[in-house]
Amino acid sequence: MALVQTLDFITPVVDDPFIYGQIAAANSLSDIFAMGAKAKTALNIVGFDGCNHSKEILNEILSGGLDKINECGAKLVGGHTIETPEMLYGLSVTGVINPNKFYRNNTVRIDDVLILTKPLGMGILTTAIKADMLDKITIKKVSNILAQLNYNASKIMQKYDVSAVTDITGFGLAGHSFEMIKDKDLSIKFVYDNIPFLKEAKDMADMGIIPAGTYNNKAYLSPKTVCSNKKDDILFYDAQTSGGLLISVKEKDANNLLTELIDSGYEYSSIIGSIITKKEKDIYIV
Amino acid sequence: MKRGKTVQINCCNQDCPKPVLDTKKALESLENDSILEVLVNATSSVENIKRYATNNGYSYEIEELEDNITKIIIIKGYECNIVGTSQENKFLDKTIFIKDDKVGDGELGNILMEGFLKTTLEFKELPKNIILVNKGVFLTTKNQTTIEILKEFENRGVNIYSCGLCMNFYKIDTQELQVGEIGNAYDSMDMLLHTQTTTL
Repeated sequence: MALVQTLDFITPVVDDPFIYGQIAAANSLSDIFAMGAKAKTALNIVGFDGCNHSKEILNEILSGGLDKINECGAKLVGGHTIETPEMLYGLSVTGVINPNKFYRNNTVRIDDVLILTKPLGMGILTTAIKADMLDKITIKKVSNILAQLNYNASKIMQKYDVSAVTDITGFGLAGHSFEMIKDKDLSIKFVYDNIPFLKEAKDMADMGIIPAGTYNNKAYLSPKTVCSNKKDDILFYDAQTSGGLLISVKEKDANNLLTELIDSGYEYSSIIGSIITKKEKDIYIV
Repeated sequence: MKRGKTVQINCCNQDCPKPVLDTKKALESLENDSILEVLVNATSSVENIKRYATNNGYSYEIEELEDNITKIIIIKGYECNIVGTSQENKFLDKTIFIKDDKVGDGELGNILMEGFLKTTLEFKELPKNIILVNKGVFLTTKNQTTIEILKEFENRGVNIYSCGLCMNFYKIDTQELQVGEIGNAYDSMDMLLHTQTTTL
């Protein structure tokens, strides 16, 4: 048995304090699940402006966080709060893992296929929420995706021949997939039409509601990438909060894994690409 | 060309998506045929505003200023196109004065006249006016090749004046004028005196 520890916190991405708490916790726990570990204990990390916000709001946020900690069978064992002008919330999580069976992000094999378990566009959509540009139904839809734990996906993938896993966060699909093959004799081929870009995010992208982090990702990663169709590829670079798992699995297992993920509530799961021999560029989108 | 007012907003040092939202708000409050200039100093702001403009059917132009500031000039309206913003700069402060249907003698003279006119169209900036006097009026009434070339000048906004007295002298009916308009001595001399003149 080995220990794994992670820490992450975020500023609010939705107005509802309980849902923000859920999302921040899901985001903090994600690293644990990407490694295939079991979350054991969690500590709250909170920055709160107590002068301008009531204690009830803080309680709601922490309740949302606790809800997600409980959902994956971990225990909240404490935490620390300080006064900050900008709200921060997240967790430090301790998990356990079998040192002979855990997942790294850079141990992919040639001919593996890549499954992504959540749709892309969360950076754009949370920017749109801050700009007050989304209706209630869309906010609810986005909130549900953000708050969904990668816990069950992590348990499911362990039944299959999976070589490497990462979770998609700030560097977007482009950045985190690049990490999977960096310094290897491998490239990645994505199929544009199979990548689950949320329609609402595309609409907001057309309006120019794109966060700076997404453009930073594009500036760094587009030289390593070839997008061979004329389609808009900005969502490929979109910085995600609480994104899905990107799972590298043997091709023969891919369809079964995909079916099981979809049946378990990861309805946007899709086979989006594969690992190929090294070509001139690192990433190809066809 | 009709043109509304020009409004400038400064969106430097603002985080996304504020610049694009301010741009949207400003464009919505402007009347048609107005111009909005947006100042930004972040790549993401430039890209977002370009996206917004493109996907909402606005034409725009980008101008790089000092201190890493970018000016995005957006046109609101249908009649107005982007070229209109720099109309003053599109034309040279020049008048071409043509007093013959040829440049020099004989058949070569015809070829040269057609060639010179045609080549002038290759330049981004055109002369403001073309004045045709004496046998020059054949170029706007009889010579189909030069008529076509001169129509191109007219499409690009160049004023073309053919001397009425000269047409009369050569017994060319005003109906036969294919391009431009009939000029008079006063306007012609005004242009020749107050703009730089090149004689072909």
